[in-house]
Amino acid sequence: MSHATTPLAELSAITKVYPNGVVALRGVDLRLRAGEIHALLGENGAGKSTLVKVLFGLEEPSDGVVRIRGHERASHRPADAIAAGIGMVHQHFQLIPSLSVAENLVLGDEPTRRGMLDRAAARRLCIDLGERHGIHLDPDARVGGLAVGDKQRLEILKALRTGADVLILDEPTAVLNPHETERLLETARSLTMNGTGIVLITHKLKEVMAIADVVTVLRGGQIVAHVDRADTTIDELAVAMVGRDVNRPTPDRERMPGDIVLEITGARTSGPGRGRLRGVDLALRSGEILGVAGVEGNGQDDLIEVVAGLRPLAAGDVTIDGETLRRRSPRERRRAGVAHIAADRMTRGAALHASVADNFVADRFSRRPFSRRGWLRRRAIDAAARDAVDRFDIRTDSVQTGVASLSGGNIQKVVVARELDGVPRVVLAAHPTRGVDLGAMARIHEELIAARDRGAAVVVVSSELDELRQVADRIVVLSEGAIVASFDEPTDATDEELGRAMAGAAA
Amino acid sequence: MTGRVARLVASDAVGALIVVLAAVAIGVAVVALLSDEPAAAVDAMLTGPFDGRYQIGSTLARATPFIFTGAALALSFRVGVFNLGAEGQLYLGAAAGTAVAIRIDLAGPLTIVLATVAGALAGAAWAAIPGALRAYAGANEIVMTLMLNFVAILFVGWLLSGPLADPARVGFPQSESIPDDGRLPRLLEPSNLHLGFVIACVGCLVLHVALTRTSWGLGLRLSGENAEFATYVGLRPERSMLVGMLCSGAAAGMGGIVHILGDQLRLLDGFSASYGFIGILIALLVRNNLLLVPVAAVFYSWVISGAQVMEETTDVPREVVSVVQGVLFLLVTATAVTTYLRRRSTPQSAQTLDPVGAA
Repeated sequence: MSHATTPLAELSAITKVYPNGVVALRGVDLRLRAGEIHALLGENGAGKSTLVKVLFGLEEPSDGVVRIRGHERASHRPADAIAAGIGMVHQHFQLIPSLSVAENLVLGDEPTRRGMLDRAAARRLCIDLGERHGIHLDPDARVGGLAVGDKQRLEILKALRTGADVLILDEPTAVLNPHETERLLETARSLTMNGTGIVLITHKLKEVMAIADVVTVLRGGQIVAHVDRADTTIDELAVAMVGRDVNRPTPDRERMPGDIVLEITGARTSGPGRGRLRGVDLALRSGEILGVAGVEGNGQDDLIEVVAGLRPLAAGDVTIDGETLRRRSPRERRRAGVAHIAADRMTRGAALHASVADNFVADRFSRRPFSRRGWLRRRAIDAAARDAVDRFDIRTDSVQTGVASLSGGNIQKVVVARELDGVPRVVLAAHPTRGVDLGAMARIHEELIAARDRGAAVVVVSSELDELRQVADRIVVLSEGAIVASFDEPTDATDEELGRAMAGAAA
Repeated sequence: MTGRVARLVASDAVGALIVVLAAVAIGVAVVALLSDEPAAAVDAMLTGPFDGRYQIGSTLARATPFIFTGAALALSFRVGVFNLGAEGQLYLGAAAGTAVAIRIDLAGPLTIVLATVAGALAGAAWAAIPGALRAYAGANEIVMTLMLNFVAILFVGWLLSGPLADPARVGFPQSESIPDDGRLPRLLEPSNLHLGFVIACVGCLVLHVALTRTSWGLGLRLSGENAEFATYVGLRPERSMLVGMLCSGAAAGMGGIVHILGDQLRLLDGFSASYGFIGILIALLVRNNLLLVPVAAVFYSWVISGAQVMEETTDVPREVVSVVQGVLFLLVTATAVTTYLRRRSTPQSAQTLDPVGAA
């Protein structure tokens, strides 16, 4: 068998049925050749993650065959997969923040000298391996202080260290800003030069078009498209993923914003680093969406939190309809009509072990119609939750299911559904579509626009410039906690202009 | 909806059952190895506690304080605070209730009600100290509640040699006995089963309903689930922590006085057989499911009672029961730890529907 024809990894007719009867995959084939980037597309819950878990040995297929370099695998557990040259970079990093880059790299198989960790060897390994694969990291840097993109490259390096020539990247760019994304894609490209095959899970069609060689699209656990990148278009792929045309909402540019609702004056926060606000002034009108662009960690979090009441102001003021919020608790601010889609759905946006229904009513269960005289009215709660599940197409068994067993994108939909329900005065949306699929993204954008049309003042923080251009009526750029640029016509703001502003003070 | 409750109970019950069966199996194996008459010994251990009216009554009576402390602990865990001070709260509850029952002369049942309320209040008051410090000053409630146990137990010891001491002075620290009016009615004579068992079971049911069916309970549970989330959606997790601690302390304190009024009939120094700490085991065993707390408490009492019957009727010493207890502790801790770890790791692995179905 020649190297060129035998695929590095081959999954044939994989079916996966969970003990509870959920069919995650139905007869799915996947073939990865050396030096190839194979993009795996699909909505949340389409089966992408299950498929790569089968490849990495984390899930045992109910039926089907796993072949590595033409050899059928009888037992295929993660240890076998790693030994066979498969590496996986998970969506959530598995690094120890208090250790250095080199230490994390060798963790689990440390070079030793007289029974002690050989730090010099670890550093050398880090530098050599980095040199070979074009991933340059400071071996002595503490991982806790690394940027997200660097942590991810360290994860890739860890996988490569085990000799992996099949690399699985599970939504690697979901947490990266545009610049880091570009670097990651470059790294991926250069790895394929050495014959590494990469399976890339992503939602972002632009990335697929930029670097993939082949594309497999999953829907409902089945393959609905398998094409060469050169033979397809973004729109075709989008239709294949969603199963219908995704109608992108276009903001109505003719609308007339109303009175000023949210006003931030001279806002400053205290704390270390670039993330604190250094005097921000903003005024937002009813019926207006403000997009906030910026490299992550340049004050976006603080900006949202001082309005939500989760972070105190060191100076300045925040008002809604002219009334100051300075002494108001988060609870009172919600009562005043502040809705907040939290950036981190895992730790803040959702109570993972509570049900979908309880999460949905978490901010209003003590009021009618959800309770009466202190008693919860389950029927009303469940009905409202089921409504939200339908409206946002949340994939869940029932509204009683614990949120933890939903996929990340579906958890995000639960958060968005809760926050955009009703008639908020101010909507704070931090990365509202991070990690969700195209259909859900369109849905969330529609809902943000609908909230605006109902008269809300909406703030959208995003690292996706396309998203901002699509929904925002106005874009400001935050850098080192200050507004450094403002674009009144978002569609005219080019990536270059925005990028320059974002990098301006940050570089 | 009843189906949902049934499923929840079932999933917690299955987990507990596996642990329980494993522990008992190991206990049986040890007994069989030690005894010259293994069949008789095993039989005495397993069926002895339910052999007739007297034994059944004694087993249920023995379970009663465990139900109270198990409920106290399950409640505190659900609300996200760790009340390891149930032992001390139990002592103070017993002391306060005893003082009321002895000193205040009221007609019949009123004495019982008043003494029980006093016991609950005393337990809650003692729990308020670590509760408030945890909620509003961020202090570690585990250390505080543990340490306060010693203070409470020694304080009750002092009461019994001073203000509450039996005037008859029999030589060791105890109070005078509870007047007939203040005693809880016995249920299965001649055993010492008393109304407290029923009160405990009803109490668990009430707490369960309060936690699951009222908006008060949902607020407490969401706060216990994730305090950061609770603040974010406009709840007040600090207040929930304090309330959870107060209710937990009240349950423990009530357990103390009910045990005095129903079983001991006077306050004795060191009367608790680690009820407060066994409560932790009970709560962990049933994964804080209040409906199952009485079942677990009866099971635990069955194990102890079985050992006693076995010692009385065969050649196996009752110390064997500590093997079962030890195994139980290990298994429960192990499952609790793995559950905890799994819960923490679910966000990473929850890409597909949870195959275990454990919500």
